[in-house]
Amino acid sequence: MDTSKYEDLFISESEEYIEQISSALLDLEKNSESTESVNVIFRAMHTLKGMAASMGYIEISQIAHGLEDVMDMIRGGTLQLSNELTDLLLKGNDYIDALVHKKNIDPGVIKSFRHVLESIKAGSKAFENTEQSKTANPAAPKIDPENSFTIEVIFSDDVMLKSARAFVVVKAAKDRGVFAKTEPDMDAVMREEFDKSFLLCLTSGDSANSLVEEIKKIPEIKDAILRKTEKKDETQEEKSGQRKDIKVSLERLDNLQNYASELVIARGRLQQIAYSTQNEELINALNSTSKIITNIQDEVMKIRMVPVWQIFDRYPRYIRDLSNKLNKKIDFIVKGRDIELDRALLNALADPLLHLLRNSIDHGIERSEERRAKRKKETGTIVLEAKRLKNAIIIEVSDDGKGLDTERILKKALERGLISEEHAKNLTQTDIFHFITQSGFSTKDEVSDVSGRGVGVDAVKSVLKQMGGSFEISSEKDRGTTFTLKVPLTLAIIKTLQVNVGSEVYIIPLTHIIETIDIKDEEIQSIMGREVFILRDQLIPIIRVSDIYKVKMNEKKTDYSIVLVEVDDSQYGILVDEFVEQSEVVVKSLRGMLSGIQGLAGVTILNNGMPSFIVDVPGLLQMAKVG
Amino acid sequence: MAIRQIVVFFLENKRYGVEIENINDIYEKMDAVRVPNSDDFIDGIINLRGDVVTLVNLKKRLRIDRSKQEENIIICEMNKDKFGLTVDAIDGIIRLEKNENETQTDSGFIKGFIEKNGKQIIIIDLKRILTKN
Amino acid sequence: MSTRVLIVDDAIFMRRMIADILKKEGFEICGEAGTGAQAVTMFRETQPDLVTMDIIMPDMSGIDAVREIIKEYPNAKILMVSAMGQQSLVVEAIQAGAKDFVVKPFQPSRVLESVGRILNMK
Repeated sequence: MDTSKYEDLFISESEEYIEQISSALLDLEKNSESTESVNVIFRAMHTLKGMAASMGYIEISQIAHGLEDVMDMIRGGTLQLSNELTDLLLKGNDYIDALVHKKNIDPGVIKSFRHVLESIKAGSKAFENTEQSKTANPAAPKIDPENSFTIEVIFSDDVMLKSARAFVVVKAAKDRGVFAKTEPDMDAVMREEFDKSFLLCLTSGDSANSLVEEIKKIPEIKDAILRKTEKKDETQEEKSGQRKDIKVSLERLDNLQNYASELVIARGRLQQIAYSTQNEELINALNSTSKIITNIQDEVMKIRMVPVWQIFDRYPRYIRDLSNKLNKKIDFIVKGRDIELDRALLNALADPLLHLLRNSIDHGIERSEERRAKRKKETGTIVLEAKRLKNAIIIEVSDDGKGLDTERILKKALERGLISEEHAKNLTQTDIFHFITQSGFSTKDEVSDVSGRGVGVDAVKSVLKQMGGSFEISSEKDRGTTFTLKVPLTLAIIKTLQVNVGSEVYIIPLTHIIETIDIKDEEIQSIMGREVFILRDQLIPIIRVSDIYKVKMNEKKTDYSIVLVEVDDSQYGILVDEFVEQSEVVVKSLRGMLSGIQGLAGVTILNNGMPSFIVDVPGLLQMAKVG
Repeated sequence: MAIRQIVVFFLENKRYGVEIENINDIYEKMDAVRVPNSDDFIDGIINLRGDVVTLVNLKKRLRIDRSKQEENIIICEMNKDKFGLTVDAIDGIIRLEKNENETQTDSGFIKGFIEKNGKQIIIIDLKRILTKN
Repeated sequence: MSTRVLIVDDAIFMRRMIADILKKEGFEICGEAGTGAQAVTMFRETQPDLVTMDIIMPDMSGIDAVREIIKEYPNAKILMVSAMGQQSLVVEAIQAGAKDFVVKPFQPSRVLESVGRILNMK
């Protein structure tokens, strides 16, 4: 729809609402009890949301939506109005004002603002859920098992307000006096706990056919299919519950995923051919096929997702036992247990996490006497937390123990000849922590039966490297240690940037990339024998992929591209010849003779059929430092 | 059951052989992608119908001086991983009775020698060749 | 005779948009209201064939307006126009007697589809 002719009206009317909101907010500051002011703001936000959405101004609509929800919570009494909250509302109103007048606001600012609103909402959601579970199930209506009918109601893909739409359908049945129940039950339907269809069970088949016809006419309903209810063993049904789940072996799931991944590769190849031959018919056909492939891929991924508590919940007991055994007092806190992760990834993380937790109990947390002497809380705390980022999941194991002993690690590294005395002086803390991730490195003088054996920190790191993730350590003496595991959302397919170096092609996972920058040869400076460049008043070390991977470089170039990455809170510029494109690639792990090659995380097959290596960014940086 | 089949190929004019059980296929030489910082005998990786296959240059692996170009790739499978052995040329397949004419040795990558129709064939130990040092 | 529609929304902007969509298809806009209370009054005055009703408005909500109107005119044909995220209110409005709903931002075709369906109801 062409919305441009409404532009002026939109702006002038939005201005009125923005004005209403700010004056109501001022009233609220004077009189925080004023329900009328709250209502005015709520309504104005709501109206702005609808207007902006109709104009296609998604950002405004989203902010207004967030603020409307906050106002709704204040109206409902689940949220208390505070000075901070008023400030937040004023700020939000200002953002809307600016956006309405087409002023540029940093998208990051808007994003973080919306995050704040989300977290406010999440904070008070907790009540609602407990409230909801209290509502009693209404008695199930009686269905004549011999003579009952069911209509499968299928929604169209673009259905909005699914629950309300479902209600329109149910009402049609109710108006005819034939409504029995829905499957899933009505509460679940209203909570939208169904995908694209639900079942409408009727008490009789009297007017079933005409009802089906009526339902088919309801907007956003794709189809309605009448069928006689199969006679079911009632007790059986009770036992199996109402969800229609089946068990699928993991192997089959893996196969399915592999095929889906192959399909993604094949699609890429086809697209390349289609575009290079400019065959429009083929391109169109491919575009629709492409959507289906993406859907399949998404579904397969979703099937594989499981909440982290499936692993996290194993640990508390283990920790209690172990802390008792070692005579340490420990509070174990788990956060973000509902965050979902690919099943295979989660399983692969189970042992590494256990190892890190053991490490924290054994080496991290001090005994009570020692803690008392340090004036710390007698009981130590270990936190296991999962957090979601855009392209990755973060899992952190942190303790408030004694921290890593840098001197001891350094001594050991010298003993083992991992570095020279001279080199040792220039190491940063992070560099030193890195030693414990090298294979066979253990600082405990005698191997304890708790954490000295089995998987080591080095194994944790290599598991993550294989996944295309990373492993970081931060630690402060007597304050504690935090292990941070950055894991891609799903195992097999990752988002990457493809780059050219000489005549070779490499793939860099987006997980580590902050931004990409074009750079001229003369901008590269040399300080103390290291190449650097200046970005926003900061010196950024340059790492040439061609040096580390020993790529044959034919000619000297004047223009390069820099991939700015962040690892261990430091930024580095990875220097390549040029960027090719961003793409999703299917990761294949390095096996056999390729396993353990430093600086490579995996391999994939490009659209042109050639294999290409996926860069292990932390590994690459490590090689650059040593080399 | 007592029959063995050996795929015979040339490395610098000498005949070498490997048992056919481990062989999947034989290809003409193709472009490979270099593996950075790998062992020198790795010739690169290729895409074989969706599988990433590592090419092992047999002459480099056996430390044989190279004057001829490798023209063939023998695809073999070991522990579910596929490898490609790059060799000069393929001679053919010979059939022999179990242990017929074979001199057993146990020196590095060589498993033994076979005399057949007046030709001497050096049997290589694929497992050792394809295991990282 | 053309079909007469009463448009109820607190935003002039939204009223204009809906009116344009309907006028283009030959509907007659017999009135516009900006609050629930106004809607009830105007319904009595104009006796429209169809009402498009916003939900959240000052003075009297769209749902209360639906209740008032249906109480007096049980056969009134009312189409709710709602923004995203108001499922429960939409359900309440349907329970109160509204015939259907559309969600902002809407496609003109979506509005016309619902309007057509409602007008064909007995």
